Amino acid sequence: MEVHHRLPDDSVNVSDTHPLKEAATLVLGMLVLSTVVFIGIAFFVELAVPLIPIEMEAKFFGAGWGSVTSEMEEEEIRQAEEVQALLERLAAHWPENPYQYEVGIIPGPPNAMALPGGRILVTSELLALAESENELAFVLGHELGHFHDRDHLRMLGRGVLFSLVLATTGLGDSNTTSLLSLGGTLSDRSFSRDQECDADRFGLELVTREYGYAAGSDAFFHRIQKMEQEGLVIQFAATHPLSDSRIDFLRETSDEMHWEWDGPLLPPIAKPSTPSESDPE
Amino acid sequence: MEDLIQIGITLFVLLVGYFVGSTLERNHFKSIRNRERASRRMMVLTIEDIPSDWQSQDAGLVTGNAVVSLDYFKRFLAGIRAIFGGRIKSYEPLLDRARREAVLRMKQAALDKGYTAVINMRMETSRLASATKKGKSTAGVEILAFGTGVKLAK
Ligand SMILES: [Zn+2]
Repeated sequence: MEVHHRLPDDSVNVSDTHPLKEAATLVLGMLVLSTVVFIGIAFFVELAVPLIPIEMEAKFFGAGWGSVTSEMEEEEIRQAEEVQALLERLAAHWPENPYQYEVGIIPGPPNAMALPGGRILVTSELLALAESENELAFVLGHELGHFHDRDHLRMLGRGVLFSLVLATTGLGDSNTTSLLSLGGTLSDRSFSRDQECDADRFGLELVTREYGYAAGSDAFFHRIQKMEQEGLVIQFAATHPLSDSRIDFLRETSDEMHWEWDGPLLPPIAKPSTPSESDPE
Repeated sequence: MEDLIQIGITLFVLLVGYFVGSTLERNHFKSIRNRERASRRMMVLTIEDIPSDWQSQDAGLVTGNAVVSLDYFKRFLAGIRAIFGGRIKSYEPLLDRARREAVLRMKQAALDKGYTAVINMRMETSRLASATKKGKSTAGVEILAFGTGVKLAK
């Protein structure tokens, strides 16, 4: 038998796709996959949320509230009561309002949030910085808008179901999780942007009905904008559409609906008795 | 913001993994090709018996093995590949390197023992379980090449 001394195969066992090209294809596929999954979930949530009775929502999500109210100091309880009174006045302009509201005060940069079951959290800095009742009224009206559309349930439902799908399908294994949740976060952002616009419109309507004009409604966004420029707030932009576009949106909506904008600003309510240290003055 | 930082860190580790991994891979392939060229006179065959017209003066077991692990970049790509299916292209060069390295080491072992050829060459692959994640993940892969070294009389 004759033997030739050949070299081993050098290339047949290795694909010649460039690893970075392979990476780009796979990452893109992953983002597409997670977006499709997310939109499917969001669609399901849209169908399911109206079927959940308000009483069930209140009962189910009531549990953690005690810890918020028990940590509030005497002054914060007074502030919460004043805010609550304003909230009730606004909610009166929404006749079919099914919720019983409860306001809580928490520390933190200016913000407010709607929690399932009719609970609203307002930060102490929002109250300390507000320069008029109208400014606060719009923020509360905006949160009422979230209750009107039951956005808190949608957001929660999307988040929970998305995590659940990742966990049960095994898609969320270590390395790929961050990519999938990135796709989810990006998709969620566009959903929440629409929700914010709807809530802004609803809040604007309540404020206009209460005062007869909308003046001061954009004050909160002007404040956030200023703080963003000064680098005091960074996390706000990530969860809310840019203040610029929201200010424009408010003005446009008010014009379109032929609502009055100008009017006197009322003195602020629920102020802390000692000036807050975070007050820029 | 936190998302961005997390993504940034992941991306950074991925890129470092890619650049370090691909540099090492390029160098390894270069070394493999050089040694394959240098040792091409040592025959490696998969036949079980030596042909009747050959004569062997000596015979014995020779082995060579290589243990390889993944870099972060390859593992990341394979993780996504596991969802869509298809060839795990990022693993291919890794296993190719390991196979050829194992054969080269076996040849070296044969050379050290004075053999001039290896017949009945076989390969075995086994997964090394990771000690940290209760053996669920893979720490690496061992490729063993073994055969019968023979000293052929010319
Ligand atoms: Zn909102």
